[in-house]
Amino acid sequence: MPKLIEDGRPAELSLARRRARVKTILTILAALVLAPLTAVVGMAVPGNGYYLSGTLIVLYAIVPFFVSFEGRRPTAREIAVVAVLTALAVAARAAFIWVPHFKPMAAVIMIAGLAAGPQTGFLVGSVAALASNFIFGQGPWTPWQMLAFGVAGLVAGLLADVRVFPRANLSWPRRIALATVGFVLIVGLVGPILDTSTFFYLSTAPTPELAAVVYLAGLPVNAIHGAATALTLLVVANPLLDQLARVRVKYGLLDRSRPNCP
Amino acid sequence: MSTLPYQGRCAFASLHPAVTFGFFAGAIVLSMVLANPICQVMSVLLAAACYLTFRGREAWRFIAGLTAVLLVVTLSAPLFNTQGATVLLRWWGGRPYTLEALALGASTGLMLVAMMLWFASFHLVMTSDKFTYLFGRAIPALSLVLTMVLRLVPSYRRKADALMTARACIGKGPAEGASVAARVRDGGSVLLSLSADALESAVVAADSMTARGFGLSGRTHFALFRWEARDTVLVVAMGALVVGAVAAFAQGGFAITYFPTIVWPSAGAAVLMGAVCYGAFLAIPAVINCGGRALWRYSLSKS
Amino acid sequence: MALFAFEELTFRYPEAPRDALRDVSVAIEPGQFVLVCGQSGCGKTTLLRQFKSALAPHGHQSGQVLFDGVPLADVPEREQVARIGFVMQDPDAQIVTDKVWHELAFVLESLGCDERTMRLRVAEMASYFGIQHWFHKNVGELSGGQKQLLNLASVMAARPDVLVLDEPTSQLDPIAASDFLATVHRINRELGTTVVMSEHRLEEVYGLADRVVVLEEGRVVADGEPRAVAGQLHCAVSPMALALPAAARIAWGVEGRPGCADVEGAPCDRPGRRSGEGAPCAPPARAVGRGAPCSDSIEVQGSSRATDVSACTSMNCARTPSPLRRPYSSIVEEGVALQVEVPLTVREGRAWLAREVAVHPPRRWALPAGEACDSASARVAVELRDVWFRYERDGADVLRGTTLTVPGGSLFAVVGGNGTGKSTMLRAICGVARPYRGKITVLGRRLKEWKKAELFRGGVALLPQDPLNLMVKKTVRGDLEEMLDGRGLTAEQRVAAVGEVATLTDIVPLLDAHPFDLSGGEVQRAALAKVLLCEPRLLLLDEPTKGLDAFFKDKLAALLRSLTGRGTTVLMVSHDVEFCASYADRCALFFDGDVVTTNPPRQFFVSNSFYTTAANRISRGLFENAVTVEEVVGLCRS
Repeated sequence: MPKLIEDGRPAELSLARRRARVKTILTILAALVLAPLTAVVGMAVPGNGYYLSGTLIVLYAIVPFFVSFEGRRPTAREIAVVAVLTALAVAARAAFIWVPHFKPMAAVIMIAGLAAGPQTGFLVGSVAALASNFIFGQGPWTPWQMLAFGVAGLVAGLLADVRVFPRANLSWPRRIALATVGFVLIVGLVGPILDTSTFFYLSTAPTPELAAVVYLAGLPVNAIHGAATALTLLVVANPLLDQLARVRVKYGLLDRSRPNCP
Repeated sequence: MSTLPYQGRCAFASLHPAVTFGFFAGAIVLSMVLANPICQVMSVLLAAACYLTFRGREAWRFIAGLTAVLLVVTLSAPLFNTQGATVLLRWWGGRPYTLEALALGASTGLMLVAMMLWFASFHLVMTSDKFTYLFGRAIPALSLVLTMVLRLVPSYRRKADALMTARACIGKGPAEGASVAARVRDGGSVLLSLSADALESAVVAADSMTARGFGLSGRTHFALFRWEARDTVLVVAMGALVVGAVAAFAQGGFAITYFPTIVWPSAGAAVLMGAVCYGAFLAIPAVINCGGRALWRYSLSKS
Repeated sequence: MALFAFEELTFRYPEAPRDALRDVSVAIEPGQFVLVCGQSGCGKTTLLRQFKSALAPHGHQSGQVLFDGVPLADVPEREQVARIGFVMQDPDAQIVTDKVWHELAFVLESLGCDERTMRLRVAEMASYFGIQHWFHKNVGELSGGQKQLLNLASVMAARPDVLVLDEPTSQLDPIAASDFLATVHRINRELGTTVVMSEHRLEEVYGLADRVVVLEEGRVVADGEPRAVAGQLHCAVSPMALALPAAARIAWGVEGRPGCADVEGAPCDRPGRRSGEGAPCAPPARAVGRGAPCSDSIEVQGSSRATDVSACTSMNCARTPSPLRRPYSSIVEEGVALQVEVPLTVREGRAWLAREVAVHPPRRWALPAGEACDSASARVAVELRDVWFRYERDGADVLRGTTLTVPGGSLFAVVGGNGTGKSTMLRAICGVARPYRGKITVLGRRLKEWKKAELFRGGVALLPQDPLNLMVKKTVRGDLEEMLDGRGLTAEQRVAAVGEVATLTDIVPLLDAHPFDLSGGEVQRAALAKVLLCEPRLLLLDEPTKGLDAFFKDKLAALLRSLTGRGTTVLMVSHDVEFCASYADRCALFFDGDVVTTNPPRQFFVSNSFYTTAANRISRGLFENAVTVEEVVGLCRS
């Protein structure tokens, strides 16, 4: 099953594309070098050096994805689809206004990752986090949320890439498996990343006790978040993936041979 | 997204986005780095003042909430940190509750509250259009995505309302006292109807972008923001104050030690100067807002 | 040289059974205002999208498109962006950014203009289009009309040579549509920009265009000056003739079809074609023996109209001694059309009718005014008494003491401007908008006493303005079956219920289609089917004719008639005065949150002079109480 968004662009762009790839690799290398340096410097900085260096490292993790996306010179359709998926993720809460404490944002991000691949999944996740904070409030948590939700999309995309899940038409066992993956992902990865940011900005002098308390206190919240994600995936994943497949067929969002739909 | 209640009179919000962004970046980073209690108290007070000038009376509720946060963080800190020589009391099998840990907790709490307050003002001032203006050159595609998302989300809300109203008018939708499962199912069908419509619209939006030349090389960026003389003045002033503060504090003698006992920083001339510079820097938005309001009243009285 | 030249363009979508465009050859000169019309699905959009390579759909294509003599595919993209502007149908979906000012600059950003140029152009656009008052707004705060104007302005910012518009007003209310058309006309007149526009609502735009291209099943069936094309359509008994301006339809209704057989071979018995209004194939008996008197009267007013037609008839003038002196029904050019002064606007229509009645004084000058409105006699379906409603606690009142009585079994139309609270009133009748004061009685019981489940089962149902809002499933069938959930029906009963309502609304072949793949008229019927599964005794319709072409409107009217025939009461809210005048039993004018008057349509529209049908405005002062085209024609021929 092909991806939702693929790049079938004229040959003249391949050079720019190669240059972009080099740029991306350089960014990743720079991030890899800078991260430990930042960590070391962060220890030495007075005050809350942990949070500052932690946030910088988080940004280093996000930047390569952004550089790579920009380097691809995405087409109007790619941008529009990413924007719509992101906006859906942000807006998902509005549709569930009836159900208290139900945040299906991560579920929509994972579906985007499944349909469009790991890179787009990460972008949808991180931009959704950023954009939702323009509405609900920016804070020291913003970069961490961008990373956490980006990772959710990335993992889902990778799972689809290695064919653990198809990009549409999930059978019932697969749907249940996906919901389980969603729950585990939230409780095991996304939630802890968010908790780490809480831990960092609460800790001028971090102790193991504080860490234990922060992560334990996060557990029930993450469990509810995970359950909401799992439930949403169970109910919505298949029909939404079908819709994405439909747009894919009807508008040829991925057909390489189409000259007018790059 | 949020609209400022006093938009016309919030002089600080009308500065060039680069200046406002630079200020908040400086204020937030310095608030985290300068762990000196004097600096922390200054930061909290001036951040609160800044937020008050933006929000007026509505700010008090938020500030009250943060005071509670400050108390909780301070009082709970000794529970997780048993260092310190001055034991105030013992609990849970003799675990010490120390004064030093309490002081450190207060420091953490002040830093947290300062950050929250600065971010709250940042959220009010740095609207999405300023953000995309600043990052439009570095990440053009993503800032366009962000712009589109911020346009689409409210429109989805309206669409979801329309869908739910339409369904309610044929007797569908969550009835009073419906089960959670029924509500989730109904919410799901609204969400799916919304997403189907959104994906169709994405194609129209993409066509509209292509028709208007999106993807041509050499794209430029338009914005209504203009760099004025006062922006230059402010940048110079801000730069000087930050350099002054950092230089003064770098002289040393301002660090506080909590363990095993609290050692207060020595209040030398350098530290005093640093504190003055720091305070002056953090006071900029509040002063500009008040000054702007005064100027506006003055101009009204003249006319 | 033509600005745009289509040379035998044939186009077929992948895997489509038929060509979407067939041998289309059209040459468009600079500065022309070209109107492209045709029924839904005739290929208008496909043709218009060929004006821009970036939008041209993928498929098999032969023939070519030349822009300034160069094949369009060879024109660089940058040049196409700068010189060819394109405005689409949906006002909302084609806006990209979140701020009005940013949207205006979008094309300039793409073209890489420097900041100074952009500032100037954006300022210019905002001033020319009157956008300066909402320049800083978020696009979400704009009305539909403002959004479409913004789309137009943001395309014009590139200063294109050609402006292509694909049904730009179909989603707008009549007043916004008319403003939009006026702006397009102004661009064409003041800037000399070539305009190519498709439309299905021709009443207004037809008189503005200086050239009309008619498509039918992907072929160009008529192309030329509006009056000539109107004549051709009329002769060919094209369904498009129904959509022409009322003035033209009145003229033809009276004249019949003189000389049409010469124009096209036996147009009357084309298979699969709907017949036009009246008795289209009846021999036009009256037109024959009345040459002489006509010519006199034409002279009387020839002076005022000679200028109107001189451009188009000049070719004929050379061959015909004096076309204007000849009886208008007899001027038939071989192979072209009736070169007649077909009246196209209300003004021309009035002049035509004045001459007509002077020459052929009809026997009757007035229709009966109609029975008085006695709401007390009939069974009452809905009654609103002093209903007050507002959406927000501190907001303004939307319903301000609304009082309305709808007799049972009638087709009741409420007309009125945008934002006056009409839709809110329908929601209040559904119990979705809860008034804070006043009394609503639905089907003989207080609204408060109805249980929700009972109210929407055999009681009330509302078809919303955007019928797609009701469609939430993957197929039309799924959507219809959703309505049967929880009724304890067996599988056979479900199939039977769906089948019955699908037959009634004529959507049987569409049952397995995706709702988004349907055309406007099809969605309307599918949503109506869904609503009918509530088995309503009171059917509420919000703008049911929005975006429908003349053909679908007739279908809808027939459907509504059959419903009222079975005793269902239909209460509809509409901008479409022509539709209400033709089919409603009662009309009410809604203004400022209340009903101002209620009357049978004839009385209702006769007493209005602005908010009334074109036929009424044409016949005002000549005939009494004539509201529809058919009535005016009937009086003329009496």
